[in-house]
Amino acid sequence: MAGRTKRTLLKVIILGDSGVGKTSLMNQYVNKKFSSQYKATIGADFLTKEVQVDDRLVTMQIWDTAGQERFQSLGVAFYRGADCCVLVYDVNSQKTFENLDNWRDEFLIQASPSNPDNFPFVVLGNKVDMDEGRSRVVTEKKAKQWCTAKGGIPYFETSAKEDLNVDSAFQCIARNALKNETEEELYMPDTVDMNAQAIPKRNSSCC
Amino acid sequence: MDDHRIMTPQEEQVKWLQDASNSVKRNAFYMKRALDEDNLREALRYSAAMLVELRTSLLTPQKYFELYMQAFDELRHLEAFFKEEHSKGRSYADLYELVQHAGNVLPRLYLLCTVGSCFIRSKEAHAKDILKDLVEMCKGVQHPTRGLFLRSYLCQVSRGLLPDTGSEYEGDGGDINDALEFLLLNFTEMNKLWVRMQHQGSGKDRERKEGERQQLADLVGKNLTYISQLEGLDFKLYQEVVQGRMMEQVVSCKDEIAQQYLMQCIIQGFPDEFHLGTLPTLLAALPELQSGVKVHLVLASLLDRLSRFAATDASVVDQFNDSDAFGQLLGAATRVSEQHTEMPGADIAAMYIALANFVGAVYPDHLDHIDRVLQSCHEALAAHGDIREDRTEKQIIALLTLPLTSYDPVTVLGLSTYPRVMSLLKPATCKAMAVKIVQTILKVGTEISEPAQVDMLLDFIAPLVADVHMDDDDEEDFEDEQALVARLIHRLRANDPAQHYALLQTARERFSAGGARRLRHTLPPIAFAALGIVGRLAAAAPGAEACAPGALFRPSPKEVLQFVHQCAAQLAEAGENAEMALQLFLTAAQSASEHARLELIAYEFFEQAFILFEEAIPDSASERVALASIVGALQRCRIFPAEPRATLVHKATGYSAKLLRKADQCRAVLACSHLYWQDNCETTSEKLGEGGTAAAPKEDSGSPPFGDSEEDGSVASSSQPPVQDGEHVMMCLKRALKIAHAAQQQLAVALRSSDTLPAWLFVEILNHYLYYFDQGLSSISASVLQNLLELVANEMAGDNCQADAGLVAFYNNTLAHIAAQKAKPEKASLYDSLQV
Repeated sequence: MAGRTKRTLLKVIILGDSGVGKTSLMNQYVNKKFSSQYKATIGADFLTKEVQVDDRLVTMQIWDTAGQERFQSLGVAFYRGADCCVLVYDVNSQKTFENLDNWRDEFLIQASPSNPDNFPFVVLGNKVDMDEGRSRVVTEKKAKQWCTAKGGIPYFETSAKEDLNVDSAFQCIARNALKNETEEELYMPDTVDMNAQAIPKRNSSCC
Repeated sequence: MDDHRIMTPQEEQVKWLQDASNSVKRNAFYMKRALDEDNLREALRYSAAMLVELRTSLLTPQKYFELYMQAFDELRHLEAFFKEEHSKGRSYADLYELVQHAGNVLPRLYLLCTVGSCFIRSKEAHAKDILKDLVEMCKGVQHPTRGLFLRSYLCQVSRGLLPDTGSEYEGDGGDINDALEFLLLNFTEMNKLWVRMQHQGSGKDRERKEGERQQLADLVGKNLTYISQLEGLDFKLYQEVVQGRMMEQVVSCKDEIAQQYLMQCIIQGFPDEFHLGTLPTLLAALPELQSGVKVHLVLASLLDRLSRFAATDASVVDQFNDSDAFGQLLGAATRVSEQHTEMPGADIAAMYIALANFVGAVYPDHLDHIDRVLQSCHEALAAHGDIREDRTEKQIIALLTLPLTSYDPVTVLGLSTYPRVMSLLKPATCKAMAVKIVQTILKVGTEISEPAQVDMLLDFIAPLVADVHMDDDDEEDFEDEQALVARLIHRLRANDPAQHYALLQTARERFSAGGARRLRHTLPPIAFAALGIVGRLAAAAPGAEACAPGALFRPSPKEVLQFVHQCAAQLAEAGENAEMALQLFLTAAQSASEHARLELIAYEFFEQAFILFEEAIPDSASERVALASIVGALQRCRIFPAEPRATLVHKATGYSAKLLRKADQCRAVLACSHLYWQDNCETTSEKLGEGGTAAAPKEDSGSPPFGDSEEDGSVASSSQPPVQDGEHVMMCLKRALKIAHAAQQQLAVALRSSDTLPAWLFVEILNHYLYYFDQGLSSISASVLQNLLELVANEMAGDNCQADAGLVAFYNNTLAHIAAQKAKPEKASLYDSLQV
């Protein structure tokens, strides 16, 4: 399997409160498009983008998620196998910043990565363009402090609207995701058939 | 063999998922090995075997989703391989055919979707054709959960491949209409599958089924996100095509869960501008929804969005106004409550709370809008029948509290419908609400300065103003509530005394109509507030009485005093309040005397106090207190000329002789002695040391300017000089001594000689003698005082007196006072001959 020239697929999950601009960041990065209209995202879904990291061409599968809890009915099974988690907040809203803790914890619990202490996160402080920064309530310093406290998470100040720092943030995301690319738990079929027969057996004894 | 242990449903789920997951892994392993070996046929065989696991009916949607995600990830390897194959020259058309050999329909369709997406991407086929083909073929799976996930997969892999406006697949691949058609069809089909789930199987496990449906909701809703994110979806297209199709599906599916959820999706998933532009269509759907749908939540959601929208940009509010958004929303709420007759009252109220919140956020200045919301709510609830459930009441209270927190309480008084909504509440709840209103006003500290506002306020707090029949009427609560109302009366005020007076008149009128029980709490504060006005009117310069044009006619102090008179009289009539009324008359008398300087009025107040004393004071203890108050008030009044004053004083002394107990008589007479001896101003008190009788009247420099009101000929009078009639003082003191001796004999006859009461009286008499001695009353010589001192010392020598610690202290303090006076150089000559 390792011999096959497979292209690397990186799975990236974007999390954050409702309205911080998760979909907009992804759209700006993948499609170079922006709309200021608010449209809640329902469920979770991804876009893919091929990116060049150093000499490697990788495919990034970027999962955009619903910030509103009511549109997360199916659970978060898609967290599993993530290579990087992007936490987004709105620099103009204290609450969205405070909730980063919850999103990070929730991700670590649900995705249960093998090495939670070193799992790559990237934090984006979005909407820095708003009101020319006058409505800003979370300072860069404060955000960076948080990132440092959490083990040196890379931090970017972005504007999906103005396409500010979006590319460089995702470059960093791809690079960190690539670093995380740990050995997939290797599946080797063993004395499988015994198990396989257990199901019909049980079913028949049930009836 | 512990397999026989019965597993819990959760354990079963974990086990089933584990089994299926193992199978997926195993087949994926062989699939990938086949891929490595470039063996397409084998790869397809194993991928189909892997996908067969998705045919399970055992898993709950969330567990199924985990399995689906696992298979999904594995399919990416296959997808990558297809691309490689293609680059090596194999056509997608070929692959598209090939995968259809899979034996089972579900694996076949997953594979077909996977190839299909590659096919579109290669542009070897027109996007619209493949999409149409796939979305139709998926009809082959009619099992709800499987069908929903399959169609969700179809959407996921075709994301970015739709012939959307500006997309690279537009043109030959179709246009925005094809993209929309694909998504709308998929949405419709998915919703049908989802709704059908409700009707499958037995009705027994309905709860479980509904839980599973809730979990699946996002798969259906996601279609709307895809639609909403289409680049080519402009307002026109939304209005003409999309909204109608969506709403049609939502309304016609007649399913509560679907309607509840999808309405939220539509509201949250599409832009504000779209909603505002299509408000009538959106709102028209609300009354059409199933009766079990919580329409109030849907409407609240919409209102919340619209208010946020309005907050982003001032011009949005203009747009709202142009389309009469408020009127439309209110109309929708009305129609919903008319249509859904079985809608719980609490939900109706909650709907109007949402509207009130909307008004508060978007139209903070439009109190009339709030009034309309209240009115509409009142009508809806009144038509609804029983609304006195706790839950409903809670909501109504929340609705009524809302304006109290967002507006000045005085502003809220402008809501004419407010009291009507309050009246929907149970009497006890209504009263609690009234208390809350009063507390809010007290807390905020606003002043109520318009008579109309007073009327309105009293309507608002009607349960506190008038008697209402209630079963659980608690006397203690009543006292507390009325204490609040009494405090509220002090919030009725205006800078202009005339205006202030008008407020009090209005209040009194209303309280008078509210039953006798509460008058004792409400009339005194009104009367005291009025006395305050008397003071202000009297203190104002006479020139100020010339009214400014348009101002209220300024009442005379006399008029206001008459008002106080009425209050006190009414209080007395209300029964059991004689003592309070008497105190009020006395306070008013003092105000009339010292502020307004209206002698006749002051006299009248004393008369009334005496009448009450004679007729209404219930017992001797109260009489004693009342008489002391009368004497105290009269002593301080300086308005009366000799003759009327003599009449009043005579009455007071007369009453003191008629008190029941000797001790009371003795003390009353002592008090009466002061009616003959008024303090002079502090400046002159020193000069009295010479001991002349009445000091010469001094010019009273502190008197305010004469009032020149000529109404009823009651011209304000000037103060009289202080009365200092030593002869009558002595008569009183001697009578007090006589009564004390009589009391002593009475006790002896009753074989109670050890009682220390006479000794107490003697010490009190001694103190009075000392006072007048100090004041320089000539009839009290040092030798008179010396005799009295000896008499008291003899009394005090008795064992019974020595045993009374209070008495001993009283006596010792008296002696200590004398010693202290003696020690003062300026008193030395006076006290010199006194031996203690």
